Amino acid sequence: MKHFKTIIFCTLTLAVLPLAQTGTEILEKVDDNTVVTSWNYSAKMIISLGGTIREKEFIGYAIGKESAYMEFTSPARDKGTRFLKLGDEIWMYLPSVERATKIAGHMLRQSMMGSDFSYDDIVENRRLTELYNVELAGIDTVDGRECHVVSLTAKVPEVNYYYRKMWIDKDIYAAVKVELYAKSGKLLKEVKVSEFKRVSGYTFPTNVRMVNKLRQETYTELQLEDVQLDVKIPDRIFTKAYLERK
Amino acid sequence: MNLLKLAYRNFFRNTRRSLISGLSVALAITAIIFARSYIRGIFQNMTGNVVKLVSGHITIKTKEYERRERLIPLSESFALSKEIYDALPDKEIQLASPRIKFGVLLGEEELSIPALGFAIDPEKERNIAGLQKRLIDGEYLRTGQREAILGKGLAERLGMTVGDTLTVITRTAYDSPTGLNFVIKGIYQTGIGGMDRNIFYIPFDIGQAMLDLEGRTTELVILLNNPQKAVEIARSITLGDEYAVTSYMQNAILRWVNLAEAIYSFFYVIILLVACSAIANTMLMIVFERTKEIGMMKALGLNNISIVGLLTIEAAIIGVVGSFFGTIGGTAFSYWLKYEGIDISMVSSTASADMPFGPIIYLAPTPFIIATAFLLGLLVTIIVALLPISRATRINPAKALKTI
Repeated sequence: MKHFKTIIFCTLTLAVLPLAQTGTEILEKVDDNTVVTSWNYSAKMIISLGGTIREKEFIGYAIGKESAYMEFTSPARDKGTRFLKLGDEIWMYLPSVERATKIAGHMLRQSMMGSDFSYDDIVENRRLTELYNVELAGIDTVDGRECHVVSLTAKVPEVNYYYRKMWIDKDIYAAVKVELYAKSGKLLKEVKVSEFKRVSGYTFPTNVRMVNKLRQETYTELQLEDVQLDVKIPDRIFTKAYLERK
Repeated sequence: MNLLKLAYRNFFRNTRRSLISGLSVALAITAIIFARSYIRGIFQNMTGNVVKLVSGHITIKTKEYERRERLIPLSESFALSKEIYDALPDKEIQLASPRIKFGVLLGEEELSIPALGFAIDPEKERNIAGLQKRLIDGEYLRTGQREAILGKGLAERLGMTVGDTLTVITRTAYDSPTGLNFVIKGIYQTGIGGMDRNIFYIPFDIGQAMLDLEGRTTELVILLNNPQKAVEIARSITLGDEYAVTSYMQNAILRWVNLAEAIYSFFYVIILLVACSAIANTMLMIVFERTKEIGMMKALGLNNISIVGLLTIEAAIIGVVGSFFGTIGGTAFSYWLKYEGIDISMVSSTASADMPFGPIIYLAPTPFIIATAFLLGLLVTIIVALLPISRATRINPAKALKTI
C-alpha cells in the first residue's frame, strides 16, 4: 500500500512537472530564440486590402535587434525606398526626395508601406520579459501545434501594446500566434506564424501573417526567403551615408 | 388734423427733452443698421472665402470620403471619368476643377510641422481660389512643374522663402510613403490665419502622380453661373449612391452664421427697447406734467381715443424724427464702411481654416435692412409709449383740474 501511494505520488508529480515552468521562463526562452547576432534576407510582402492584393519585395540586413536596414526592390513605384533602424530611431529614404528623413512621433504608429505592420512593430527591440509581466494562461493547440498560452501585461509605459496573448510552441519555443491589445482591452492586431525554417541552428519564422483589426478586409503576409543567420554584415550598411547613397 | 398740429406743437414745448428722446432712438437705429450690415458683411465675406477656398458652389466627393473627411482618406477617391463630367449640367456650370487635399509633416531633418497640401489645377483655380491675386512674393503655379506656393505663415514657420526647396513627404492613397521636392514658387496671403499658416498648393498633375491617384481625385469643385441655384443644381446631379453632391449653402459654418443672424434679431429688439425706455420716460413725464391740461381737454369734451391719439402722435413724431436721423446716420456709416471696409486682420490672423473670415470685412447694407430698421424704430417707439399714455385715459377731469 505504501509503495502504491509512492507510485501515485511520483506519477502525479511527473505529470505536473512540465506545468511547473513559469510564464517568465517560457518567455525567456522565446526571447533567447529570437536573438541572433546578425542576419540578412530577401522578403516578399503581400498586402491584401479590400480584396486588392499588392506585392512588394525587399531585402534586409540586421545586427541583433538594434540595427536594421531594408531596401524595397519592387514594385517600380517603391523601388529604392529604404529604411534604416538605429536603436529606436527609424530613417526613411525616398529616391524621389534624395535625402533621409526621420520617422518620429505618431508616424511610428502608422502603417509601414501600406501594410498591417506599423513602424513601431519593426522598431520594437527589447526583450519582452523586460517590458511585460507574464502569466501562464494554459495550454492550447494552434494549427496542430501544442502551445503554452501566456498573457502579458505591460509593466513599463513605453510599450506599443498594453496586453499581449501569445501562443508559444512547446517544442520550438517560438510564438506561433500573438494577439495584441490596447489598454482598453480592444484587440488591435493578430499575428500568426505559419512556417518556420531551421537555419544555422535557429528556428526562424519565415511566413508571418499580420491582421490589423482596425482596418477592414486586410492582412499582410510576410514571406522571408534566403535567410542567412550569424553572417558578417559590413557596418557601413547601418549608416545614414549608405542610406542616402545615390 | 388738429391733433397732428397739436402734437407737432407739443413736440416743441420741451424741445431739448424731445430731441434727447429722439437721439436715443436715432443711436439705436444707427447701431442696428450698422450691426445688421456688419453681420451680413461677415456672412458675405465667409461665403466668398468658403466658395473660393473650400468648396466652390458645389462639391462632389464620395460619401465615404465625406464621412471620414477629417482623416483625409485618399483611398476614398473617384475616377475623373466621362460619366462624372456628363452628369454635370453644362449650361449652369462655369467650370469644374478637381482638388486633392493631403496631410503632411514638413521639416528639414525631422518631420514635425503639420501642414495641409492641396493639389489644384493652376489654370482653372485662377477663377476659383484666385490665389494668383493673393501672392505677396514670387509667381503662381504652373501645370507639370514641381512647384509649390505656400501661405505666408507656413513659409515663416519653415523659415523658407521663394526659390527654396520644399520637401513634401506623405503617404499615397495606398498608404505607402511617397514624397517629392518642390521649388517654392510663390508666397500667398489670404489674411485667414489658419490657411496662411497651414496650407500649401501644388499642381494637380504632380499631386496625382505623387499620391498614386492617376486619373482620380478626392473632390471635384464646381463654380456655377448662378450661385443662387446651387441647392437645386446639386440635387439635380445624379451620380449614384456612393457620391455626395453638396452645395456651399450646406456648409456648416455658413449655416451657423445664418442661424446667428436670426438670433441677433432678438438683440436688435432689445437694443431698441432699451433706447425706447427714454421715450417711455418722456411720455410718462408728459402725462404727469399735463395732467391739468389733459383734464381740461377732457372737460371740454375730448374723448379718451383722441387723448391717446394726441399723445401717440407726439410719441410717433419723436420716433419718426429719431428713426429718420438714425437711419440717415446708420446708412451713411454703413455705406462708408461698405467701400472702406473694416480691417479685422488682427482677429482673422488667428482664425482657423475651417472658419475662413477676414481679413477685411466690407459692410453689406441693403435697402431692406435700412427700411426695416426705420419701421422697427417707429413701431417700437409707439408700442413702448402706449403704456404711459394709457395712464392719461384714467385721468378724472374734475380731479385733474384741481391739481396744481
